[in-house]
Amino acid sequence: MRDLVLLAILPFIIYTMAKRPFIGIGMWIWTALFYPNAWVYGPAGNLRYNLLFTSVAILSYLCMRAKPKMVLGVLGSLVLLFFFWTTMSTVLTLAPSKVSWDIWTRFAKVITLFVFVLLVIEKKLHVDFFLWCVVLSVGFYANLEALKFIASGGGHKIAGFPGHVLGDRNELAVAFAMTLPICYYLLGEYGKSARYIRLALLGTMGLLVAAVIGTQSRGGFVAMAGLGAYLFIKSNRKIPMAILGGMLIFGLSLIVSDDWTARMNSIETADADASFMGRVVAWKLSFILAMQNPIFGGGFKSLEYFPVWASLSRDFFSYSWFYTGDLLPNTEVARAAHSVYFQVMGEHGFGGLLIFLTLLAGTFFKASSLSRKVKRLGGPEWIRSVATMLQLSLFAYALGGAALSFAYFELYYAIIALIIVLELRILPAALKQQNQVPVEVPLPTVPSLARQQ
Amino acid sequence: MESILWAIDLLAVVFLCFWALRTDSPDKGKKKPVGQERR
Repeated sequence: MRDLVLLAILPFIIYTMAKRPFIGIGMWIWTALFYPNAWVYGPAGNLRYNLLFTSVAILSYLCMRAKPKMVLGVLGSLVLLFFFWTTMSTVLTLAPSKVSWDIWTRFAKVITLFVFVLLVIEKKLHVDFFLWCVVLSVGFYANLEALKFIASGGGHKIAGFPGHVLGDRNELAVAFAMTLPICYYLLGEYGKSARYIRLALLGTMGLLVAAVIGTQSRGGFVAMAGLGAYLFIKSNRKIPMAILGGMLIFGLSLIVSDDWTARMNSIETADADASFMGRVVAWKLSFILAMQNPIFGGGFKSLEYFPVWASLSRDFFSYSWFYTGDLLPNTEVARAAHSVYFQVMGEHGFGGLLIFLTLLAGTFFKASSLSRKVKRLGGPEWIRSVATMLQLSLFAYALGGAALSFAYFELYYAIIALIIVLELRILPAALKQQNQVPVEVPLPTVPSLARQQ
Repeated sequence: MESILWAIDLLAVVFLCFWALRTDSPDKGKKKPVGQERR
């Protein structure tokens, strides 16, 4: 039945994508995050939706008559430089070449989406459509899983689909936390236009919080708590927010299990927690990998390649200031870096890490400066609002990503692209338009003319 | 239940696509110039 529904709606989606490239770009991120193949079991499962949607989106752009001028800026150049850096590290990889080039290919697709966002998105509708697509993919999954979590009295453990970009529950939790501010922005923009949209978005926000808890991810919980604190500081409505937050915490406290509470309490005693210290061991090995290959690192997936892991383990006792407790590297299986920062450090060296950090910090502060610029120049209020919320999404990513290997996440690069487009294309166009709006000046009455008539 | 919610989501996606297409039509564009949609 699901196959029939999906196949029935497909022509309509493709039709709209072909008509407007921005719809194609929105559906590109939707299909990447929604993973339609995982939901169907029949013939519809054999279609490659990502490839199909990407191809239609690109063709739609190529047929576009008035193509907007490409905007790149410093941040865009940094993204491309980072991609070039990863290409060099893949050429010099220590991991099996096929594995590294496979991840490189996936990252190349992420960068392609990034470039197309820069090429196509040019107004509010485009930005909003793109963000709605994120909500209808990640937000929908959160809704569904959170409802199961609540219905099971906290027993259901939320996880992603195997093989998906959000397959790991920690990654899923961070994606949920990143979607929260996006919902908040859309609520502000569309919540007043229809009651059902307001209720749907408010419900999704509540269920996103429940879904983060349902994943039992400590990284996701830290990201969400940080996000809540940041939002509270930035908000002009602190009292209603505190009341809502208190109600939400009370409601969820009735659902969460003792197992969950015990797991979250282990954040305080992380240095005694074997699971967490296992990550610290992987961080140290990533650091050693970067010290041995400081410029380009070991390449994609090099730390997870056991011969590299074993070789690095031999140097484990060097850099004794890097505290890892009593734990030693696993002698049977290699592990992932479990931190976007250490992942990039190990895989692309200190050079790659420098670009990655500059990009992250640069985008974060660019969102702030954009918000201030809009206020100063009297630009559209929605740009301020979306810039602030995208900044919060980045904050959740930076915080949650500290404990998981998630450096090549589509949504992160798409947010960078949106910030660039907002600053370099949409705001200048809006300000120009504002200045061109003719001021209605009453025509002077000329008595002589009046007399002649 | 899961399938119903899933189908609703897909219909919401189709609705969103057509809404975007309609809103982006040239006639609508004249009424709401770039960046001026909401102040």
